[in-house]
Formats: sequence, C-alpha cells, structure tokens
Amino acid sequence: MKNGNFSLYDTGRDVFPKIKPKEKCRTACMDELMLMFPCDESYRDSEAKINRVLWRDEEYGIKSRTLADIVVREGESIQECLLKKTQAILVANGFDEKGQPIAGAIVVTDCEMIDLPQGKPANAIPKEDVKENQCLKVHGVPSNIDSNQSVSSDYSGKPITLAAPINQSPEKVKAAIDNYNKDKPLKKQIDAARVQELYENTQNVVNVSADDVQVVKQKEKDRKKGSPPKENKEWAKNTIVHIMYNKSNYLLNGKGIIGTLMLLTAFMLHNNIAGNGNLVFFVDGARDLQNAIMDMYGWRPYKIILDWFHLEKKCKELLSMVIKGKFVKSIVLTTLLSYLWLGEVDKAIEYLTNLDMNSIKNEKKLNELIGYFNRNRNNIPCYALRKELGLKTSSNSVEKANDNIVANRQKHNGTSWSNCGSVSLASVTTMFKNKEQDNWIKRRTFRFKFHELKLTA
Amino acid sequence: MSMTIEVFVKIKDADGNESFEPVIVTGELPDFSEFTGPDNFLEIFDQVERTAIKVRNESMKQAIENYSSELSKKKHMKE
Repeated sequence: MKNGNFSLYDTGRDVFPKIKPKEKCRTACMDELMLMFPCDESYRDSEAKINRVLWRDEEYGIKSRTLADIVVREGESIQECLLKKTQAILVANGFDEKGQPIAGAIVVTDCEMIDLPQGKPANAIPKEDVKENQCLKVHGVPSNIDSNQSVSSDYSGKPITLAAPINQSPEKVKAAIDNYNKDKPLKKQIDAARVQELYENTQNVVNVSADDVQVVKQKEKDRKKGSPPKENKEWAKNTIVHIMYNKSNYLLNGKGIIGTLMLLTAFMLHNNIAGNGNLVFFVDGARDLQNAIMDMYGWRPYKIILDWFHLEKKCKELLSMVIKGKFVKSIVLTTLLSYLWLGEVDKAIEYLTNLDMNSIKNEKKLNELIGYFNRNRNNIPCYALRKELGLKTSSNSVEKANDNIVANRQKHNGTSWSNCGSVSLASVTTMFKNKEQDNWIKRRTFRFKFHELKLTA
Repeated sequence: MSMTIEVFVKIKDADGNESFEPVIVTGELPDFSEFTGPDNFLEIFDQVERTAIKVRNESMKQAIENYSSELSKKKHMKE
C-alpha cells in the first residue's frame, strides 16, 4: 500500500501470514475454505472437494501437500498466539510465567482456606465443622496463599478475590437423599450419616473436564515406501480441556498437560471466573493429569471428580483379570459398582478384601484395584447423590470433544502423525469448534471468551 | 463514502442479439480510505470479496432465471 511514493505497508510481509515461495496469498474466504475441509477429512479428500467447489483443474488445483503445510503452519501460529495471549493475561493479573500467583495477586477475603489434615480423606472434617465462609481444600495441597497476607506486596494491580464456594443447602441434600432412597432396598440406599461431602450449587460452577488423547506417531526419519517399520509404537499426544460455566462452553487444546492447564488459568482470568469458589475437575484416573492439576491449582480450592465411566471401566478390566469364572465376576462387579455408585470406597475395599480366595486367580491385580481405589479415594464422590442433585458425574463432555477434535480425524484410519502435525490440526479444529475462525482468519487474534455452544461440544 | 461494484450480464443468441434485458446487479464496496493499516487489511478486504461474490452470485442467478424463463416460453410455442 502506497501513499504517493511513500510505502505505508507491505501486504505480503505485514498482512498475510508467511507463505512458501510459490504459494499465493489467500483471502479470508479462501483461508476459511482451506482450513475447514481438512478438519473432517483427509488432506486428499479435502483437495478433491476444494478443487471441485472452486472448479479448478489439475494445473491450477490446490495440492494436498500444500493443504497440509497450511494447516500445520496455521496450527503453529494459533498455538503461538495463544501462548502469547496466555502470558500477557497471566502477567496482567499478577501470575508468574508458570501460572502461579505472585504474592498479593490473590486475596482470600470472603472465605477461609482450611487445609485437610495430612493423609486424611475429604470427609475427615465433618461438614458441621466447616462454616459458611470457609472453603475446604479437598486435596490438602499446601497453599502458597496466606489468608492473612497483606495486599501490599509484590503485586500492585487489582487482586483477584477468591469467593467462598456456594454449596447446596443441607435441606436440599437431605431431600435429595430421601428422594433417592425411596423404594430402594436398604443396601442400595445412601447413608445420610456418612455423607460428609459438600455439594456445589448447580449454578455458577466452573466445570472443567480434561483428558489426553493419543494418536499413532509417524517415524521422524526414513519414511520412504518399503522402509522397515518402527520398532515400538510411539504416540503423539494432545491434551484437551472442556470448560463449562452455566450454559457456555469453550475448548482448549495443547501439546502437554501443564501448557494446556496454563491456557485454562489464563482463560479463567480473562473471563473473570478465576476467583469463583466452585471449580470442579472431571478426569479419568490418569495420575499425571491429577498431579498436574494439584501442582497448578494449589493456590485455590477445587475438587477433582473421577469420571464414573472410567471408574466402571477400570473395575471391569481389572476384575476380569482377578476373578475366576464369568458368573462370579459378574456378581462381584455388580456389588462393587453398587458400593462405588454410593461413594462407599471403604465398603468396596472391604468387600474385595473379604472375597473368597478360591475365586481369585491374580492377587496382584486385586491389590492393584484396591490401590487404585485408595489412590482415588478423595475423587470418588457419591455419584448417586450428585446425579440426584443434578450435578455432573462424568467427563463425557471432554470425551466427546476428544472425538470431535482429534479421534474422528486422526485415529483408527491407518494414519500416523508428527507431534506438530497432530497438535496443529487439533488447534485448527478447536478454533472452528469455538467459533473463533472470524477472529483468527481476519484479525489474527482470539476473543478467548465463552460462547453459547451445543453441550455436546 | 463507499464505492460501488456493478456486474452486467448479457446473454446473446448466435446472431449476436441480446435475448433479454441485461442483468445489472450492484453492491457497495469499502472505500480505499478504510484500509487504514495492516491490522484491518484482511477484515476490510474480506468485505470486498464477500460483496463481489454476492453480486456475482445474484447476477448469475437472475441471468439464469431469465434464460430459463425464455426457454420455457420457447418450449410452450413448439407444443
């Protein structure tokens, strides 16, 4: 663009994203078309469809390799842009580059944090002892926030106020228990005396479901036809996070758990929900994910809930290795799941410990299952009561998002992916799912805000 | 102040006679002054492209409608 002889800016350098020597600059409409098709179909099928839509013959047609290059480049730019945005948001809100608040960035004014006694389960503190303005740090992660700390410290901006969790009233919980227990045999009833947990309100809760999804990794070198296969199967990993607040959703994706959780922190800060008292994570049993959550959110209260589907799956898998005979296994599984559905982990462990030794074929796997229950004890709530109260019990939203963003396109079709190819394609798909394509393609930025979305993501 | 884009479509027979009134469809394009810098270039240019596509589609639609309507008259006459 010129003003007389004076050059204002160069569209090739300042406007359009970097392209290869023979590549042409693309307008927003063209960009959208070229990014949209490969999200659902292979690059070859996308090539055919785009060329048909544009009536391009072979000479002027778009090549699948070009499409793949464009998607990878755009995906990398998206990740880079999100990283920059994340860092800017974190710094602006008094957080360090690792996503942890610096002194003075958080004020615990209307709630008091209570750490759990070391090694005690969540229900170790009777709920009567937790006052309305206190919040129980369910996982006992040592906090770097002192509730009495003075605001005049390292951070000079406006600190975030951690609100007290809003929980369901005891009357409502009792009514839900009574309703559930109605017409049920004593064994299948919720024991009201044992329900110590606090149940979050159905409104204004930040529900976060996180999961990793792996796809087959391609060989980094020697990918010619007829070359020997890889010795071991390797995986390219994507982390997907689904955030739901009231009726709004947003999806985040990234290469690693920590990086994606940092995106989550920045997203919560950007949407003014970082100080919300009710933050609930829904996860599968993966230890690395749970540990990362504990490391990242030690500064605030949160809950982790083990997804019911994964708990059931784990029980089925391990019991088939533990118990002799289909019939016995089926009885043990039904009984075990009925205890777990009520959140009775102790009873489940006791039941497994007292099993007839003649029906056990693998004691090691039995101990593994007991160990799994012990390790996830704090994350196994009374699913029956949660369901009765209208609360989420599973991470199905992120499982669905995994399918939509990664699995449908990148799994079970004989394809293999490079790390950056897989994450880039997932980033582009996530952009479309979040309806951010207009912001990205035209303005090279993200709104990074919730939007009304179908619950199925 | 915006600029205008006009698309004319004429359909002629073998003798070079126009079969019907030419189709004229207009659309408004952003003025050059709206391209204030690299930050809004893609967004403003997108408006140009969308208007151009819209005008093209509309003009073609009208032209083909006219063509089809002439065609139906011819068939009717034959019968």
